Amino acid sequence: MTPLLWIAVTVVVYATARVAYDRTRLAVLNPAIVSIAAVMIILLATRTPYVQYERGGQVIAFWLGPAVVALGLPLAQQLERVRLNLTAISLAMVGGSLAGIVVAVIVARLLGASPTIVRSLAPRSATTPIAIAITARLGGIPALSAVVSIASGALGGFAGVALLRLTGIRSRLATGLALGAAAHGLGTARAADEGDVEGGAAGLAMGAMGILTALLAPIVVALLR
Amino acid sequence: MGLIALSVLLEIRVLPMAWVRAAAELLVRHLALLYVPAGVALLAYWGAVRHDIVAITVAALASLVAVLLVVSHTVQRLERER
Repeated sequence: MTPLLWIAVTVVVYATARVAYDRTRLAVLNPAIVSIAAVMIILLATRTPYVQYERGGQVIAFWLGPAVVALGLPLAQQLERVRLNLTAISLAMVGGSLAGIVVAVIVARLLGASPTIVRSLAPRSATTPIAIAITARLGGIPALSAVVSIASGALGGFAGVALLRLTGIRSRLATGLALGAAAHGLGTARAADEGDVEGGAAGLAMGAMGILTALLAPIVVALLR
Repeated sequence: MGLIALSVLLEIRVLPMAWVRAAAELLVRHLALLYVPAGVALLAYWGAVRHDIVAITVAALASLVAVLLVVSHTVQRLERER
């Protein structure tokens, strides 16, 4: 009974947060962040131990695996677009993936974060389900990677375009790729609002960053140890 | 790895796109629901995380800005067609 109860609570909370977001379109009402906070508050208020929630939660979290595979779909549809600017895009994706990992690891370490925390931050630029999988393998805290990936994605989606324009970016391809690469799902949603070229490029970048970050994060973490 | 496998299978048309699309679209549309239990698990690690909260925030912000700038400027400089 209890696992079912917590599955139901999670779904209802998410549905409510989703409706609130769709009605208001406020970036601070990011449905994932609001739902996570709400479920946490419910658990704390009812004095439910986390382990009890986990039995229901893992039924939902199981679907993250298939969802990662489902992300391959837009990627397959984007392969055509890549061909014209193959060199530029490949360089940007490898460079962006490396920059995302290296900057997160070095800054976190300079500020005195523990090794477990540093490992959890390495896959920040991968989309959430991939970031969780990478951190699980690196021996970090997957929950932290999830929250960091969602929150930074929300911020990137919200402020990314303004920052790009400020630094002189006008190219639609560059805008889309950067949003998808840095802010994955929410960046891609924002890019799709800008236009077709941006949206497609962002979807492609999100997939490529997921794969590259999965390959490069373990290497960077081992080298910077 | 499943992601690469699916891309390849779709690209060489072993798997018909229509079969996969409906299921995939449903999963991706409600992807945020799947993040909720993953994020709630942070409760169990709050003790370890609280101590480094400033480092986590600054590192995540720096990484976000680094990726935005590296990707956009690389592409804009090398792009063939504007």
